[in-house]
Amino acid sequence: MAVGAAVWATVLFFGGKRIVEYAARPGSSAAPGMYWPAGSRIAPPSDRAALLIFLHPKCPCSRASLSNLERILSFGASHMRCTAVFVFPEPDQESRRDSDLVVKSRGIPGLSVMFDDGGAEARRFGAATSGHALMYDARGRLLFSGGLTPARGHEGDSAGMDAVRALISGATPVNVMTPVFGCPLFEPVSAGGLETGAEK
Amino acid sequence: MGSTEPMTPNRDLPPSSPEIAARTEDIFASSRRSNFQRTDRFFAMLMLVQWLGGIAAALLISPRTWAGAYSSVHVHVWAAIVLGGAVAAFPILLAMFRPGEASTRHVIAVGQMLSSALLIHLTGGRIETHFHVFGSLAFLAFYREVSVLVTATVVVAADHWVRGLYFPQSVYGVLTVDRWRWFEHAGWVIFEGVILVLYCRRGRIEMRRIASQQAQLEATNRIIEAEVAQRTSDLAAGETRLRMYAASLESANSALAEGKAQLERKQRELEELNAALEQATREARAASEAKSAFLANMSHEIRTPMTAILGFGDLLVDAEHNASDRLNYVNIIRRNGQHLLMLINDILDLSKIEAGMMKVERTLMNPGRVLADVAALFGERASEKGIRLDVQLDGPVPERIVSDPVRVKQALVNLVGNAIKFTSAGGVTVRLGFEAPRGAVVYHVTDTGPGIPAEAQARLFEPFVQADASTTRRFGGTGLGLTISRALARMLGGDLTLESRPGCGSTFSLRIDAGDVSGAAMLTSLESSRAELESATATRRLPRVSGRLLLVEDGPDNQRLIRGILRRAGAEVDLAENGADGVEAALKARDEGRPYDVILMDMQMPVMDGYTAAAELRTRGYTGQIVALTAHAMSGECRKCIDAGCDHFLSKPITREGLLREVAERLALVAQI
Repeated sequence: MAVGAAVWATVLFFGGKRIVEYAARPGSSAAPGMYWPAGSRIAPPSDRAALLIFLHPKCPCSRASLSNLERILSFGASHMRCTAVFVFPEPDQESRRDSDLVVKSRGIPGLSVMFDDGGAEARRFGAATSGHALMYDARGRLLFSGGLTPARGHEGDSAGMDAVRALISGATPVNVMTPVFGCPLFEPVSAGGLETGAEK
Repeated sequence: MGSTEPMTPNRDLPPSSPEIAARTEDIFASSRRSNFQRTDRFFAMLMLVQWLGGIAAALLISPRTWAGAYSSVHVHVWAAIVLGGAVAAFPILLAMFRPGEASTRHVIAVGQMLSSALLIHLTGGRIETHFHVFGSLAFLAFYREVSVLVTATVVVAADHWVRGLYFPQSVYGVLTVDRWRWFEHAGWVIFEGVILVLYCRRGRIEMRRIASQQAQLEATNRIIEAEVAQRTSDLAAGETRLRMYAASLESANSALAEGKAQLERKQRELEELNAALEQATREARAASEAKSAFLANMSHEIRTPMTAILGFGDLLVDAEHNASDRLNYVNIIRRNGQHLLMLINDILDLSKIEAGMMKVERTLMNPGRVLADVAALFGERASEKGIRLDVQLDGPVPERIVSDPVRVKQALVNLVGNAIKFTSAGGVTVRLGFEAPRGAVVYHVTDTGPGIPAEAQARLFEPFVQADASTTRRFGGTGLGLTISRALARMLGGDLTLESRPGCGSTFSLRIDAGDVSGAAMLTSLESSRAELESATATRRLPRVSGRLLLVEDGPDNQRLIRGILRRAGAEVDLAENGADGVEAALKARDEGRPYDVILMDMQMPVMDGYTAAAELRTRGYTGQIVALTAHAMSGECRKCIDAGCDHFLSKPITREGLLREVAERLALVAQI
């Protein structure tokens, strides 16, 4: 009994530790520019702030990011223009335009949807992980960059949400940059960690 | 037994008795253990379902993880399978193999709360999924064990506390968190836990109350069962007694029935006895009447010849009658005397037959000679009546058969005598035949008389009965002849039968057993028999006797008669008046050297009778011949005489022929010595 309990506890400890670590491991992202990048096909903000969120159309973790974004929009949608940009690294992946995440995004009031075929816009804005949100003021100056979830695939209060809410309400956010938890928008240079069971 | 007192559950056992309290604790413990085991099994199933549900949720929510256009199985899927399986496996195993153990339910509590945590994680921390925690606590409350809730609560609190310390963002969504933030989350769990603890306490109280009620119920059941057993035993005893009573009653009934049957049987026996007595009375009365009639008849039969004997005796005394008349008178006297003798012989024969004393011999005899003898005997009488008497053979007949010639002749004499007596015209025919299949010879005596009515035929062979009372008056007779003849025929292995029709005469058939006739010559005519008869008659001349005789006789008439016969035959006869004189005379003659050749000893005498005298003589060494003279004709008398010392005996009345032949035989024996 005691041995069994010890083995059981050990397995659970390390198993739990593993998934917690997985959930808490943020994705990579490049340092965004301080202003709205020039040459972007996305219309820059003019009269109000703009919030962009780059999403992988199939990333399950990003469902939590959309849920948190929906909460933010319910808090102050009129104060900014919000756009969900679904990144398609390869242009021939038309089927992903009707993914659950796209459909869910289309249903969120105040959220515009657009597609970034090839990922040029994502690269332009320095987004490399699904769920990466960027907030600019009306003059195109970067106010916030980071994820809106507390962990990978976990919705609920997070530092990113608090920051966006603070910016909408005109307050100074505690954090203006937060880790992004989600699937990589692009294939890594070396696909060694994704080859098992991978599909394309 | 038979009590109507209501049974009260706690009449004999108070609710707070130590026995019930102990039993209550046993039941409570048993119920708790049963509840633990039942809840263990429930959680085993629940955790299995949760595991599968977690896998399903992972597959539904986050089946794959992506990197650009590439994807792979999401870690959550592996976590749901592997980690979820690990979480559920150990509690399930314990529930299966160690149900009811405290460690099992605590492990289940830990596993259940970890399942909640895993499910929350797999669903992305959705607030709705957090209700699984509260549901799990509620399920754990099934154990009604506070410590299990405490364990579960500790797991939740520890999870929040540890993760708050090392990865607060995964729980609280912020990078920095207040050190007591975990308690806010755990507090709600504790809040529910407190409520569930109250529920558990109430549940345990309820379980104890139920256990107490069950213990009391069991105690009551035991009391009731004991009462029922006692009453059942009483009923069984009562039933046994009733059965015994019933058996006794049945036995009594049987005895009564048996008694009744016996009484009825006795009554029937009495009725039969009464009937028999009545019948016997009737028969006795009839016999008495018959004997009265017989006696009257006998009186008539005796008085009639006696009248003739006495009357003609008186005439003989009268000297006026000439010799011819006197001879006629003597013949009448002799005929009537013979009739009287026949009458007495018949009565004696009947008496012997009824007493079973009648004996028959089995010697060689010629049936034809008997027939010829009877024919010769009755020929003169038939001629006197003017009727014919024919004898003939009815086929070949053995010349020699084994039977009793005296008794055959006696029966045949009866039949032929009757036939002649009752036939006034026509005649009498006697036919002798032989029935080879039966081995019997038959004498058919046929007459042309009046015949016998059928109703009289059955009674004809009964003693003292004749066909008609008038018959006696017309023809005389004793009415014993047929009875004696039939008895003799049966004693000789045959029978006497009758065929008769009124007006057509009668045929009596005397059938006797012939015995062994093998090798016997067959008679085809009666001539040889007649010749044999005539030869025997010719040799039957009265013998001469010459010797010294002593006649011991008290009767003067008999003295005169016997001495006269013997002296006329040539003998020397001395007289003695009684037995004593006879003994003295016999011994004196012996002592003088002139012994008597034969002593004729009357057995009924005064002073000393013949039995005593014969015995005295034998006692005193007398060896001469002694012949008894006795009026007793019964066969037992012969034995009595021989036992007394006599050599032979003669029955009275004594005929001249019989006396002379007997004396001649005795003298011949003396001469041989």
